[in-house]
Amino acid sequence: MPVVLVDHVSHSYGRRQVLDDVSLAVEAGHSLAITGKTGSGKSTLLSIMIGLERPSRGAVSLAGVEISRLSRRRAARLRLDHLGMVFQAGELIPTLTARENAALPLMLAGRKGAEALDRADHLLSTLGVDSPDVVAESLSGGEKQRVAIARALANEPAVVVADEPTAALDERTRDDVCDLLYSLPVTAGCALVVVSHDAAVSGRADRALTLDGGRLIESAPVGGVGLP
Amino acid sequence: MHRAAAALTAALLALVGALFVVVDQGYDARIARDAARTPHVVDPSTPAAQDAVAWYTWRGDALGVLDAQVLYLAVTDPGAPPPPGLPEWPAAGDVWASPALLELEGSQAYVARYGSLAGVIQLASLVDDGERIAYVGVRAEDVTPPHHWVPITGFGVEPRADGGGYLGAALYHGTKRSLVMGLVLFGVAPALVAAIALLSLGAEERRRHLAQVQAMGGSPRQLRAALLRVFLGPAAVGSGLVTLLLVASTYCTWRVPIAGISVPGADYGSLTGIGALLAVGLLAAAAVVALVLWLHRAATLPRVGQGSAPRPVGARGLWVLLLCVDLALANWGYAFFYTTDPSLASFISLSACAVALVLLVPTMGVVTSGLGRVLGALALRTGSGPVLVGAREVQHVPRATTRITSVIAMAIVLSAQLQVWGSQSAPSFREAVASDRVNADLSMLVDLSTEERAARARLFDDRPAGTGFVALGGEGLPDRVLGDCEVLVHVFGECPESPKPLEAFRGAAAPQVWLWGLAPDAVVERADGDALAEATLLAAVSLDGRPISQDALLRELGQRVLPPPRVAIPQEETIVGAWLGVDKARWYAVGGLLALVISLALAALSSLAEVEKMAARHGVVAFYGARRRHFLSFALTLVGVPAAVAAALGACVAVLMSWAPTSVPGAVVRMPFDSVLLMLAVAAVYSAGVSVVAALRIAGRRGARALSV
Repeated sequence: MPVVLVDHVSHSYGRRQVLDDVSLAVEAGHSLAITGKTGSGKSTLLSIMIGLERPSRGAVSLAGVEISRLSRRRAARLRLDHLGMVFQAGELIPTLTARENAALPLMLAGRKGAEALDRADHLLSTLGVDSPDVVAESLSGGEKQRVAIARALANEPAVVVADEPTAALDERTRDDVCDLLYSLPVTAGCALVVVSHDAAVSGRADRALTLDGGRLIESAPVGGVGLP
Repeated sequence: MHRAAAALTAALLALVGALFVVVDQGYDARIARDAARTPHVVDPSTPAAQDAVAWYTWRGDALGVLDAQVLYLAVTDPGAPPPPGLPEWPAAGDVWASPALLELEGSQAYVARYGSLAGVIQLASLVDDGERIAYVGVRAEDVTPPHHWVPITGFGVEPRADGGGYLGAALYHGTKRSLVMGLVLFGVAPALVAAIALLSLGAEERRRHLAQVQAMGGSPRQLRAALLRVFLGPAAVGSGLVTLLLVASTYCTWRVPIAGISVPGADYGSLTGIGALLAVGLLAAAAVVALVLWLHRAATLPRVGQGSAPRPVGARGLWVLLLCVDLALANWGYAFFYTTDPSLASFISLSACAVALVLLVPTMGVVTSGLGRVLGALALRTGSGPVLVGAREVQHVPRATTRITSVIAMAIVLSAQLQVWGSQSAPSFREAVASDRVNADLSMLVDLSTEERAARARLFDDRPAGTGFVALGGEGLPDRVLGDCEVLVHVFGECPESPKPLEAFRGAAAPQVWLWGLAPDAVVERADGDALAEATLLAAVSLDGRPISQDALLRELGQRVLPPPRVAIPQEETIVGAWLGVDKARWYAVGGLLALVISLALAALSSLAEVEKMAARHGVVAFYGARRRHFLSFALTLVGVPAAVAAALGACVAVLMSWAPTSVPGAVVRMPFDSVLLMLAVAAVYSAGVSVVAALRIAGRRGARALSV
């Protein structure tokens, strides 16, 4: 059963159609990269996929639940339980330490502070973050993305979605972060969706789809990734 | 949002600017009315006296503890124009009273002291509709010049150049200059700060937008034009509406709350006044646009720096806190033990307050930062994510929180202090109140200094039943107490054969308050007839133990001497004067109220702007946890708790600093607790209200949408 299912989704802003009958599915343990030029509809597809926007037509399911029909509150709860998000700019809270940032989703989910911090310490240690007690605004770009990945993994999600995760990183750090991300389907058993315009990043996915003018123009099912 | 803020700011600035016009025009109008109704006195020894149309004399009086003025007029030329506000000259025995005088309890008896009520003085001739004044008509044949009666040729004198008044001087509540200073302090300064806070709403978003346009090659001129297009319209609407309302208000009379001053709209409704109001409206709209350009000067004026907001001091702030408390304690201690030097006590009180206010900013920085640390630790223990985020924000970025909490704490300290100053009673006032209680109307002072000797003699020949007169003689402080045997025995327990030092009777004398004001070497002496008639000050003493009625005594004396001599409760002038001072000092309370309201409004706006700005950084919280309680916890931690702590700290300082001056006997406000508790309640409501509004705003704007997806 696909962890992420995008079923004939179309979306338009006013008269401008951004997505046109897009469908895709991702199963646990597999990775999918979505590429495309600026304005091709990547960000809109991502927003719809994670429940920040509702599609004009079609449906999106996350972990078997149709997120595109949920209320804002229920969608947030679904994300908290089943989705890990790695944002383009990290979106770490600058005044929290690395471990507090990583523990935040657990605390929002109602875990006790000590339990959440233990889990955060474990994740940060696994991801090679050496300074868990440093406030986020003092971390380097690579460290920030590692902390962001740790935060995305905190609740043991069914799917991790990464939006341009290496956009602001140098080549070496980009490769390190990519190694970490693409190991997740194997080590954590989750599905991975990466949105990136960088061929070096998207090329490492099990499958890469390209959006052009709101349509998926290429699809080649490999393993658990493909069009339904 | 920013359009509404611009309109509101322009409205606020237009209102404050218009107050200057109202003060200027209104004050001049009051002065002009006062001057126009003031009798034009001429020297009786000059030829001009031949043109006199009436005799005139004036007497300050009191009804209870409120002052009143009585103008006696004896017309000699009934064809001359009557006094302004009266349709005719007051006939003998007629009294024309102002509406405010007639509204007072006991006014009927008061009027009966002088005659029968013939009519009400028209508002157009009064400085203020709160003025207590009466015209009393007297027969010209009863006038006994040259004593205190003067000829007048009509009414109307030149307005005084110093801005003070004539008959209505007590109603001016300070000079025009002091009112303008008050407006600058309590109006312009808070309004400018509020304007900046209002225009800062959404400034971050605008700044980002301008930076983008600038990066795309937009010139400062184009950016200025863009800002002008957005803000000029709303600013014009805001100031225009207020200006229209103010122009409309020229057709009615409105009252200043608490101080009770009424302002007739017609006073500033002249062409000049309306023109000035319109000019102020235009200036307010221009000021809003100028402020917006200034706020975005980095984009619109590229070479100008952005400046920096104040940052709280570090650990040394703890010493500052201690110093602050020390100052308050020193003030408390000094005022508690040494209340007899009001000037020095006021200086210490004012300087301690000023220092405490200045030091509150860094103190609040340290306190809120520490509070953030404590809340953060609690949040980690309990596992509350939103509280953790809010607490760390307070801990690491205390600038915004410091600003808000400092405003709250300062508003409370200042408001409490203003209330204390406003109700501060001098030692002499407290003594006067105490003596009034001891006197219990068993004695009255009768001032005969303006009476002829024959008139004085008439009083002794035919004194009211149950009342004895003691004559108080001597220059300056009376040093001779003269009386017949009956009254001396009543007061001193014996009738001395020869002059005897007053000191000898100190233990035996009845508690007569008028004795307190005599010279230390005064003597008590038996005297009759002519000797008594020499005295110009009498003490009327109740011989039967019943309180003397001031009104009844005045009426009885009025049958012997016209106008009747002034009858006063001992130390009445001090009491009346002190109450007048308290009345004027209510302006402090008005200022305090204004400062508190503006400060809290400013703090609320600043809070909302800061919370919104911070919420944009915390979109991840909304991404994962969009429950209302999450937003509420976040907003409460960020605003509610620091505000509550600020209110509590401000209240502590306020209580410490106002305890002593309000605890002394005779203080108008016994304790500051009521006001401080009220302000705490206001602060609590404010904290909760702003937190809820902030939470709703964060929830409403869907914080997760702010993420860079």
